[in-house]
Amino acid sequence: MEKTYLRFVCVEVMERMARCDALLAKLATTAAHGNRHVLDVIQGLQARLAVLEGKLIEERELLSALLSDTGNAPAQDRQALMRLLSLSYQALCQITQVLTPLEASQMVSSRTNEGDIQPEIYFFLKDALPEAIQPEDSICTVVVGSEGKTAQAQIEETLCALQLQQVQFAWLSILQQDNPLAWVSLSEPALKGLAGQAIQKADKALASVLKQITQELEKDAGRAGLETATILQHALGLRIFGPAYYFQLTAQSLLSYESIEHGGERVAKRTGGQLSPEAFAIVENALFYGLNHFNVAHNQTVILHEAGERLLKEQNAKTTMLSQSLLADLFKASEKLIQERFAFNAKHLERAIQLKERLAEGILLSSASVFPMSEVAQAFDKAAKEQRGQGESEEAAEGSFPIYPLLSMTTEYPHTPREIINAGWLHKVERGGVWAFAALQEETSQGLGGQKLSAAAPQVAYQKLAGLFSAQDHLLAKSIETAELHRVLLCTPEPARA
Amino acid sequence: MILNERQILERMMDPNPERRIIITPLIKPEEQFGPTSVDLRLGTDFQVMQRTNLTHLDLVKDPAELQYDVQKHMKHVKVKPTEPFVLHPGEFALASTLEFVRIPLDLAARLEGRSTWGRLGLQIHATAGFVDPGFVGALTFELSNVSNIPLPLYPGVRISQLCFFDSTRTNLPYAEKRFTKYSGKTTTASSAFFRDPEYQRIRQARKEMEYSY
Repeated sequence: MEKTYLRFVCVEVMERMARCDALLAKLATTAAHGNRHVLDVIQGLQARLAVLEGKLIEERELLSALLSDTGNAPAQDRQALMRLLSLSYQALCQITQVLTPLEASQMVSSRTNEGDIQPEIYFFLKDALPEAIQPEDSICTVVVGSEGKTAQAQIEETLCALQLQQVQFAWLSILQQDNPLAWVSLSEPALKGLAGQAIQKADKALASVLKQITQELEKDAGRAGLETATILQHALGLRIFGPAYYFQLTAQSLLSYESIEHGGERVAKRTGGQLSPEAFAIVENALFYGLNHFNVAHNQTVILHEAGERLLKEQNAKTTMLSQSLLADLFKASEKLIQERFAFNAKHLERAIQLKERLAEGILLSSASVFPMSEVAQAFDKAAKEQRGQGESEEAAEGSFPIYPLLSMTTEYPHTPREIINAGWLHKVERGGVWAFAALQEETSQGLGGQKLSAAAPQVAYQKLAGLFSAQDHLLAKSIETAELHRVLLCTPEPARA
Repeated sequence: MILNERQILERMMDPNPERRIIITPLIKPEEQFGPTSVDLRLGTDFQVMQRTNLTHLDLVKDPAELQYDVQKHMKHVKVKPTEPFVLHPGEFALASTLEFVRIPLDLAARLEGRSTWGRLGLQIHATAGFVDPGFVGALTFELSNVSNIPLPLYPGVRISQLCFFDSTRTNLPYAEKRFTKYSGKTTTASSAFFRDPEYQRIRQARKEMEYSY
């Protein structure tokens, strides 16, 4: 199993387990002061999660080899680990299904106000999907649910029966509610609407491309169920969100409850029921091609994509990809559908890469000055020298030149939520393995080499991991919110540097 | 020695990250810089203690219980960018700076109110205006309205100023203090008094006394 791909899945599974651990602890504290029966249920779930955590930690030597840069593990062991990750994720899905509060849906109106959704989510969606490109005036409801989309499907079915189809649903896992990186998936109904609208109004050129894609898809039985509209929807998503869309879709597709339970039969036949990128491979190639086409590919996406390709070759997958000329035509068409001013472009990516460094230092990334501080320092020195040139002493010169022009050079401008979220994803893909590795090493190193591990060690390791992810969530959400207020104070309703 | 505006600016541009002051976002530096200070803005989140069913905080209760009590009675209020948080006469609320601040290890700082707001009766801290070297995060305001008219407070408004003092480099930065409680917070944080070690000692002493009777 390709190490990069396995590491990506491993970090995602460990992250969700850590988030689940933190959520259960929070619920247990509240339940301890309330309903005793609820507390019993929560404690039961905590015990179940502890077993899962323990099982995964038992494989710490293998995990450490996977998560470290230098180590490696035999293919057989990696296959076993993949199976374990798959089973752990399935069990985690069961826990979150119990947790899903029925009333946990939030209304967000795209046109009138932000409804009762948390403000950072609204600011993010408003930036990515402004009114100008919204498909229609419809109310979007965010459903906070379990892993997988079972709840969403049930609600949609009910609404369909009641002929209330104008209400759209965006689904968000209860574990990912506070994770800004997962908010990209909330754009799904809007992107679906945009794709549907584009197909309806398609000009000759687009209609021809879409027809050819449909024919290509029909040729391959492995692509059954994949629609042209879905491919177009992803093309639009990439155009609007950049690499964040690619990463989110990769995580969502690899850890989709449905792909294990229901749609995974085809995968199961080939790989023995493991999580597999095969289910995702069909669109992955198109997604990666799209990032290149829009000039927003980053080396982390290249690494992940190449790892996926090698993995498929290892498994002798016979999935044939869409032809490159077709993909080129499709992405050209989606360029026209989403104008440049609404798109995530190379400049945004450049800023996201710069922001990633600030995230690593734990500094708020809501804004940055146009001039680097080194340039301001040069201007400062120049002003002092000029003053000295006019015959003033060094000390007097330091204090007599006008400071306002220099201060104006330090003015900061807000970043867009999409830049902030892309920085978050790039940082996580780069550092997630290190965080998981560090948490494992610190808490479980005493158990390496056959020594007995303390009973609390797995939970402490996951709590540490949850702390790291929570710190990043807070910083990203606060940055999105601060940037919005910054824009208001600058009186620029549109993102200032879009 | 208190730093003047040039020295503050120099420290913000310092190529050495350890000596650099970080204040972000710097929205209008020309408006924010004063002769010896930088104005800071009000953030968007507030916390108000709800007293309707709270008799007192029992300071020697179990820390987990106390944490629950504090959380239960603290109402979190998030204000939208163009909406005010109204602080009524005699009311007390916690808030935080919009800005994220990092103080180098060889500087200390003090958070003070602006006279514009002082004249309206707004106090921005009760007693804790001192900022240790090495502090990282958003600074907390302990807001109280001592006037007799309600004060609408809009997020982003400059209500405070931060001034800096030279110090010799500390070996005990705030973030590394053994019992640090508020480092790295980017939002308003309520009091974590129950984590102070003296309460643990008092609790222990009380238990021992109970047994001895």
